Amino acid sequence: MSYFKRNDPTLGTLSHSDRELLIKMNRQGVSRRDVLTMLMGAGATLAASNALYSGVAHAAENTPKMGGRLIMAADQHGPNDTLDPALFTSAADYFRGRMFYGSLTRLTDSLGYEPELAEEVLSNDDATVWTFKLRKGVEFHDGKSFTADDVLYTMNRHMGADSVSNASSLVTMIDRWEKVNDHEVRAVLSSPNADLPIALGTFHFKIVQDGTTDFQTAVGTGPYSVKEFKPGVRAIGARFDNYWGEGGYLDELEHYGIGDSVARLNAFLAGNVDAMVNLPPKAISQVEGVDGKEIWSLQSGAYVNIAPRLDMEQSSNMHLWKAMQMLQDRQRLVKGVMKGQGSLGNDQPINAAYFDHCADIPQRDLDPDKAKWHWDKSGLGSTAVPVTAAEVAPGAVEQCLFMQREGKKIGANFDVKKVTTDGYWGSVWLKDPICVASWNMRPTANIMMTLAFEGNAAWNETRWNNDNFNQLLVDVRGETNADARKQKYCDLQTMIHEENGMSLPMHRNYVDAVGSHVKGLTHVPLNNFGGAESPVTLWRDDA
Amino acid sequence: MTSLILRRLGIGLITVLAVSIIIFFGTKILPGDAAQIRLGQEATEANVAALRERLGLDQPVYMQYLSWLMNFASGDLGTSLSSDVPITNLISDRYQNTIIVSTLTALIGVPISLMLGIMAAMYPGSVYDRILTFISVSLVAAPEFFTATLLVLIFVFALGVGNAVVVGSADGKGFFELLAHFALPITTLSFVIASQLIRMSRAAVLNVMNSPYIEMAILKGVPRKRIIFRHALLNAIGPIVNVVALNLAYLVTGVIVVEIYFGYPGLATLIVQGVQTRDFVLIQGLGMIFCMTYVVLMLVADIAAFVSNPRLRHPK
Amino acid sequence: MNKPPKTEHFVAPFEEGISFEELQDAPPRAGYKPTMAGWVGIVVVTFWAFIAFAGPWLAPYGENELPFPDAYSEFQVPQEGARLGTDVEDRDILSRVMFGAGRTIGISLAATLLAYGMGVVLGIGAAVSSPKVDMVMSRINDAFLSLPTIMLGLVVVAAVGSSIPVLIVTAGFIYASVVFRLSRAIGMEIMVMDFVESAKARGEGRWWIITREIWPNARMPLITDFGLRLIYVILFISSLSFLGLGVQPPQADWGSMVRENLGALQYGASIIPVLAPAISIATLTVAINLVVDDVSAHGGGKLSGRM
Repeated sequence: MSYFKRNDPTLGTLSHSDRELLIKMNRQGVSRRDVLTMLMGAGATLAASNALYSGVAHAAENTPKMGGRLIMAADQHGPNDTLDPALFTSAADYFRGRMFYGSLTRLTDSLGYEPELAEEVLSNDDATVWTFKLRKGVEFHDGKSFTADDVLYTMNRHMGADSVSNASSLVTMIDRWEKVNDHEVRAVLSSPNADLPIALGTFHFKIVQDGTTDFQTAVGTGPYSVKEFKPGVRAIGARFDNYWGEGGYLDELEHYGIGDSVARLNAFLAGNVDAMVNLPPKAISQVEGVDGKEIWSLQSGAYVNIAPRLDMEQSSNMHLWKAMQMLQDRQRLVKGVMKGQGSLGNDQPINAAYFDHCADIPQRDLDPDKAKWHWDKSGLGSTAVPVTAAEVAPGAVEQCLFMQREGKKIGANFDVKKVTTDGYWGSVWLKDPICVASWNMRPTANIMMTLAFEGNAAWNETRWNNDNFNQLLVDVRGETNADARKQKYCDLQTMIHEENGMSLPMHRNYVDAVGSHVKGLTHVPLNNFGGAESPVTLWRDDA
Repeated sequence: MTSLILRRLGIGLITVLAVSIIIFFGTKILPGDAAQIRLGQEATEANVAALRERLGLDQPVYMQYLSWLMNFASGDLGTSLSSDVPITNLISDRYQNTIIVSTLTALIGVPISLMLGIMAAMYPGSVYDRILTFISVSLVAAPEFFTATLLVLIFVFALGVGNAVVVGSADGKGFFELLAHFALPITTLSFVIASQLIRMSRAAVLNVMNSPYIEMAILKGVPRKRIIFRHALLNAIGPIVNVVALNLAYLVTGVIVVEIYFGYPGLATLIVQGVQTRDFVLIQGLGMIFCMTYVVLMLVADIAAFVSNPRLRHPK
Repeated sequence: MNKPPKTEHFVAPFEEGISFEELQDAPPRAGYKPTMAGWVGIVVVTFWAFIAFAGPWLAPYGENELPFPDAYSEFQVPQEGARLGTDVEDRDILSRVMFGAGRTIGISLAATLLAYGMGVVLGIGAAVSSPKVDMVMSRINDAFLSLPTIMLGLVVVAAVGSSIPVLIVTAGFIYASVVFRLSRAIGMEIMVMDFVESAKARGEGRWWIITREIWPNARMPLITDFGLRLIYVILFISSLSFLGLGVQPPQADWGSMVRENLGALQYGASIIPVLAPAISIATLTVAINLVVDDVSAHGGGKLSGRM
C-alpha cells in the first residue's frame, strides 16, 4: 500500500477497490481512451482522468512481481570478499550486505533516513542521547528473534581501540550503548551529533546476531538468505519468506564479479548478466542504442582529486599547486572521459548533489596563462615534479595525464608515475608528496568535510590545518537558523577552495547499466547499484 | 631406470622447498601488507594494527615462515589472510574450473596441433606447409585477449552461439555439457597453444630428418610416411613432450588473461589476487601446488626423453 | 680459418683438428640465397626497423598530442588530419603506431637478447659441465620455471614499479629460464652423440667441443626458437599491459594500444584503433618467422631442401 503513496500521490487518494480495478484494466491492456471514458463517465474531469490514468500506468509498471532470478555483475571480487559488515570495503561487499542483513535505519534517495529495524528514532534536545525503539516480530534467517542484544553486540564491535571495523571513525563520539529493554536501546554520546541516524544507515552498521564470530555465512534479517557464498567466486541469495517488510521479490539473486570492463560489458550485452556496475562511459551511447538495455546513472558527489602535501618541500610551494589547479582540463574530464556523466569540480568536495552545496563560488577552468604566471613565480623552471597515480577510479589517471599535457605547453615538467592499484591505499596514499585519490560521496557535507578536511583528520590528504575552518565545522553542527547555516557552509567550502591546495577537477556519477526488465532500482547516490540499496526492491518485469 | 626416477623425484622435492623459500621472502619485500589492503582506504592506523595482530603478521618473518612450513608438512595449508577462509576452501572452489579447462584443452588442442605439425614436416616447403606455418605464426602473434575478443565477437554477437562469459557453475555437468560451458575459453586456449605445438613438432621432426640414419633410410627407398612414423618420431619425442609439458603447466598456472576475460575464477586468478592482497598464506599454498604440478609434468617429460633416447639414461 | 696445405696422402680431418667442410676438396657450401618468402620477410622486418628508428621524427603528431583538441570524441574514422583516425583518448593512431614501433621492438629485442645471452650460455654450459654443477643449475632454473610468468611480473612491478628497464630485465630473466632449458636439452642431445664421444676420447677440451661440435649443430634450432621467443616476449609484455603493469600511459606500445583500444571492437565508430597495433604486431612476427624459416631451410643445413 505504501508503495502507491510513495510513487504517485494521486493514486493514493483513491479507494482500494477503485485502484485495484484500474490496475487490472491497465494490465489487461484496456486502452487509454477506454479508461478515460470510464472515469469521465463516473464524473471525473479530463485532467483528473488523465492524471489518474498516468498514475495507474506508472503504478502498474511499478507493482513488483514476485519470482524470477537476476544476475548482477560487480567489478571487484576476490578472496577478500567478506560477510562481516565491520570489514566491508568494496561496493560488492555493500551490495551483499544489503541482500542478507538489515540495519537500524535506511538511507533514502535524498540522503535522509527512514526507519528500518528501528521503528522510532528519538533524541534529546542537544543530540547527545539517542533512543532507538526496535521493531518487533523480526526474524533472523535461522528463526531467532531480533532483539536489543543483537544491536548492542553489533554496535560494540565498532567501538574501542581494538576494533577492526572500517567505520569506527563514524561513531567515535558514542560513549556507550545501553539496553533499555528487549526492544529499546540507547546511545549515549560524548559530543553532539545530529546526523547519527544517518551514519547508522551506512553500509557497515548492518545488524548481526549476538555472538557471531564466524562470518563464512551471513545470518541476518535481510530479504535474502545465503544460498551460496564463495569469496571471489559468487554469492547467491534465496528469498527469505519470513522477511519482515516489503521486499525480496526475486526467488534468487546472484551476484559476482567480472573484473575486466570489456568482459563485463560483453557479458551484459550478450544477456549473460542482467546488470553491471561501472559501465565505461564511452560505451554509454552504444548501450542506449540497444533495445532492452538502459543506463542506471546516479548524480553523485563522488570525486577524484590530486592532493599535494603542504608539509613537504616541493609540494608546499603555493604557486605550484595553484598552477596545477589552473592546468586541470576539467571540461575534457567531464565531457571526454565521463561523457557528461559527471560535473565540473571546483577544488572543493561539496557539489550540487549535497544538500549544503554553495553555488556562489566562481568555477575554475583551464587557464594556461594564469598557470604560466604561477609556474614562473614558483621558481621550478624545468624541475621534474613527481605525481603518483593509479586507476583507483575513472578519471584518476586521466586527470594527471591531461595536467601533464597542458603543463608541457607552459614549460612545466610533471613526471606522472602510474602504479598498481593493489597496495595503493596502504603505501602511496597519504604518503607520497603528490598523489591521486578517489572519494565516494558521504551522506552529509559535514561528514565529508570532517573525514577529509578537518585539521587532524586521519585522512586529511594535504595536511591543511586551518583553525577557523576546524572551529566552524564543529560549530555548524548545532546551527538551527537556515540562513546562518547556509552562510557557514559557504564559508567552509570557500576556505577549502582557496587554501587547501588540492585539485579536484571532476565529480563523477555512478554509472551502471541494467536490462529494461530489471525494476525496483534505487537511487541513493552513495555507491553503485543505487547506493547498494537495491537488493531489497529489485524485481523482474518478465518473470 | 627406477633409481633415476626416484632421484628425479627427490630433486623435485628439493626444488619445491627452494621455491617455497623464494616465494615467501620474495613477496615479503613488496610494499603494503595484507592487513592494510584488507581494510582499504578507510582504515585508521589503529584498525590496521589490530588486524595485523589478529593475523599474526606482527611476528618476525622467519617465525611466520617456519610456522607455515610446519603446518604445510602436516597437510594444513592455513587460512587466507585476506578473508579468514581456509586456503583449501578457496582452492576447492576454483581448481575444478582450472582442471576442467586445461584437461579439455589438452585433450582437444594437443593431439590436433601435433598432428598438424607432423603433417607439415612430412611435406616441408609444400603449399600445405606454408599455409600452416603462416596460420600458426599469425595465431601466436595475437595477444590472448585479442583472440578472445575476436572469438566472442564472431561467435556470441555475430553468430549468436555461446556465452561471452562463463555463466553459472560447472557442478554436475557431463562431458559435452562442460565443453559447451567452457566453449570459448577452450577455443581461445587451443589457439594459443596450437601455434607453439605445431611449430615445435614440425621443427623437431625436421631436425631429426637431418640425421644420417634417416638419410640412409631415404637412400634405401623407404616410403616417407614410414620413415616419419617409424623412425623419426621416436627420436623427436623428447623435445615434443618437453613442449607439451611446458604448455600443460601454462594451462594450469598462466591462463590468467583468459580467466579474467571470460569471468570464471580459476587458480591463476587466485594467485594473482593473492599477490594483490599480499596474502602470503595463499601465495605460498598455491605456489606449492603450481610447483608440484610443474615438477610432475617435467618428470614425465624427462621420462619420455629417457625412454626415447637410451643414451640419456647413462649420465656422462 | 685457412685451408691446410695440399698434401700427398690422405689426411683424416680429425688429425688436423678441422671439420669436413673445411677440407680443400669439400663440396662448395651454398651461401644464403633467400627465396621469395624470405625476401618478403626481410623487406617487412627492414621496414619496421626503419620505423622503429625514424618513427618519432616522421610521425605527424606527438604520441600524446590531440589532433582535434576541441572535439571530445574518441575512435573517430580516418579523416583529414588523422589518417588512421583517433584512439580511445582522442590521439592520432598513426603517430602512436610509429612511436610504439620503437618502444615495442626495442623492449622485446633487448629482453630477448638478454634472455638468449643468459639462457644459451648457461644452458650449454650446464650441458657440458659435471653432473653436480648441472644439477644445481637445473634445479635453480626449475624453481624459476615453475612460477607462473604473470605472477613473477606482477610481483616485480609491484615491488619496483613499471618502467622500461624493469620490463626488459623482468622479461629477460623469465625467458632466460625457458631458453636455458631448451639449450641444455639440445646440448645434452648433442653431447651424447658419437662424434662428441669420440672428440672427448681424443681429449678435446670443453671449449673446443662447445664451439666446434655443439654450436654448429645447435644454432639452427636455437635461431628458429629466437624468432618465436621474440614474439612471446612481445605478448608477455602486452599481457602485463592487460593487467595494467606493462608500458605505462601515455607512452605508446603496441601491446598496450591493443588493450586500451579493445572497446573499439564493441562500441567504436571505427575498429582501426585496435586493428592497427594488432596488425603491426602480426606483420612483424610473421616477417621474422619467414626470415628465420628461410634461413634455417636454405642456410646450409644438409638435407633441408632435399625431401
